[in-house]
Amino acid sequence: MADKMSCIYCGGTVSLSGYCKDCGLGQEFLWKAGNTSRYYYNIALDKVTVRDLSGAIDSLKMSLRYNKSNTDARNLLGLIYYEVGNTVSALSNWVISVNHKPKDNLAVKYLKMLRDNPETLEKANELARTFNKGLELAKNHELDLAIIQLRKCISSNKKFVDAYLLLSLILIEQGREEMARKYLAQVVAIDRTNPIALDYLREMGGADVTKLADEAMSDSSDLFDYYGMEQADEKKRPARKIVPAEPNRARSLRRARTREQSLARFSNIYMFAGIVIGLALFYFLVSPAMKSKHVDEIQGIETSNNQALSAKNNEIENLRIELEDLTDKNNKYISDNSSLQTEIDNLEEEVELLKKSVEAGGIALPEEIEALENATSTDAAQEISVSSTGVTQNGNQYDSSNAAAERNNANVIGISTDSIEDIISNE
Amino acid sequence: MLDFDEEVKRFTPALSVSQADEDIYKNDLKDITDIVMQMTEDLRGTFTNGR
Repeated sequence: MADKMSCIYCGGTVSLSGYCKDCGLGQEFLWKAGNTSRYYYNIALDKVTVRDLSGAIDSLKMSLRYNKSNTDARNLLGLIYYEVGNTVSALSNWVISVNHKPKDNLAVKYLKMLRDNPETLEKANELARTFNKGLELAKNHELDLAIIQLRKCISSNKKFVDAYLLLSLILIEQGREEMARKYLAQVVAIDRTNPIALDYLREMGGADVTKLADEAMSDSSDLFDYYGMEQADEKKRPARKIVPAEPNRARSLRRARTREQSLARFSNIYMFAGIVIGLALFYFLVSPAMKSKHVDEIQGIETSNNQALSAKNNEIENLRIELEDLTDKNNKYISDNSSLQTEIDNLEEEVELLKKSVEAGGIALPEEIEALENATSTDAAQEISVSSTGVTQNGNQYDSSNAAAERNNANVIGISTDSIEDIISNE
Repeated sequence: MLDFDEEVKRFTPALSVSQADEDIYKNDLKDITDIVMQMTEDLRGTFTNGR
């Protein structure tokens, strides 16, 4: 017996028991999943026909949960996203659909349409950027600027539901509920059961959604003027619109062009004038202040440098004076040292002579000894002693030995010759 | 009364075309068949380890 069925999931052979030999899934289970997916797809289709796009999106998501390769559901989901202004979500769903089923797929046609019209994607990008800017401004409570961005969005894409909803929220926050109601009416006209729009309408006291949607379809031209003024509904005055007048087609084209050109020329002139004025302001106001600031800085640096320099000069002067003092002292010490050295040399020579006289047994003359005794502390005494010892450079040895003896005798303090003779006679 | 800050949080930033790749990866989720397959694989693994 041949197993003829192929598995819905993997394409493998299915056994008679109903289970795939390759993936092991039961075919009955797979049929049920496929059926449920189609069931939800049909529900979504019905909802789309009555403009219940939010409900349709939920049903299609449920359908894809049962069978993600249900390309019809995915294509419809992409279409709904495209309708409400989510171009990128639409694109991604179509790409996935083509991935599951490359041939005989409507998604191929949609993608080709987008590819052949690159402005659509550029516009979608710009729209996303503008909306995100508006959302950021709204989060920062810069509501007026956010309104400008969002109005730019809806003038670019009249079915961008998120922009309408955010704009309504901002207007409700500002207390402009009538205007908010109009934008919510637009949302409801696109998507009857949009939950956020219904919440806001309920907050404002509820409204008949169908009636709102019909009103929105009929009276919506003023909402899309990006440069337009708001409706002054509260004061019941006729609305002021900034709408260009219907041109006289025969001549107006040329005039419009020349008007545009002259405007462009003037804008260049204004820009140039602005640059010149800016440069002049900078030159006359800003640069002198900068220069004076620099001059002040330079002067400050010079002053501090001069102060440091004078301090250093003073220090140098003090050091020089100190050096001179020290040099003088040094010279004085050297001269003192030399004189002392000379004296030491003299004394050493005398000592030598004395030693020799002691060895030789020399005798000193009394007058000279007395002179020595009287003149011990003066230089004259030194001279006399020197002269009496007869220490000369010529080395007169006899005179020197007498001098040594005299000196020896001079050292015997308080004993005179008479007293020595007395001592000898007494002995 | 509407709380403006809470309501603004419900809005998500719009995607640009360059973010379409991320959106595709995010969208291509598992369906019920993939979940059952996963469960079957887990059971097989448990059964094989049990042996």
